Amino acid sequence: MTTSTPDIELTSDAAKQTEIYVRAFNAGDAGKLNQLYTDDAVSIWEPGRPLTGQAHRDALAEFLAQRPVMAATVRHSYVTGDTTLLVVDWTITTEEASGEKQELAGVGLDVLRLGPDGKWRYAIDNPFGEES
Amino acid sequence: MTSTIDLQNLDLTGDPDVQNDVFLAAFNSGDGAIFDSLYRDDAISNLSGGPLTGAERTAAIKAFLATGPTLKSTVKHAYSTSDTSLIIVDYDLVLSDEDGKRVRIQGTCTDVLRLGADGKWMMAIDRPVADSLPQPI
Repeated sequence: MTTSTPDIELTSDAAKQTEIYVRAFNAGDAGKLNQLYTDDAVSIWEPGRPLTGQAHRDALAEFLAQRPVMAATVRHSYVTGDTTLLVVDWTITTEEASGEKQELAGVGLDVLRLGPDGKWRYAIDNPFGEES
Repeated sequence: MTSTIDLQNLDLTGDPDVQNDVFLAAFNSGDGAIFDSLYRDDAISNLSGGPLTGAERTAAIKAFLATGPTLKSTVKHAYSTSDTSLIIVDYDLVLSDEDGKRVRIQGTCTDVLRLGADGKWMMAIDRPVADSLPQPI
């Protein structure tokens, strides 16, 4: 875990989830980002390779160590009482040791679940949701 | 799929392929009440072209299925936690257009399912996206 960002809190407003995620991501705060996921969350950061549990936390920490910068815009959101689907346009820029920048982009399908504490968390995070 | 599906007692189960078979059997029954029984009360369906929930969703589904659309779909991706699933299917829908002509729409549908306290999986959100405009058959 790196520095803590106390101004980033879990939310009871699904419309704020993406912004909170982006702030924690860009702060490089793996501890805070992990709190935004359910304990059994599944992320498909590489198409065809779903990760959960310790492998999920390890991959997130490893990626954040490259100091990637994310920008994201929610294109659609469907919010039920305890389940939300977000369709998100995102880009992530990383800078290589040579100074060369690389940009990833995609359309994410994020499934949020409302916890017993009234806070939304990512249950499934599928950033390449529109790829075959 | 070898077992028969009891339309009066539908169970999506936690298996994506069984879910798909049950979903198709319910849809292709033409009975909107049966198909809508797969959705939670607060579920959001975009089958009508926009997000509808509750009684509006039920009414739209009943009206649409009464026009005799037929659906085929195959599971492309399925990801699951203990109580939440994201399923992505390719679909092939044949329906009657405004003039009564049969047309085909193909696309990809995103489905979110939730496991209820009663142990049954139900549809929480669907979001079909067509690849192109309806094609004449």
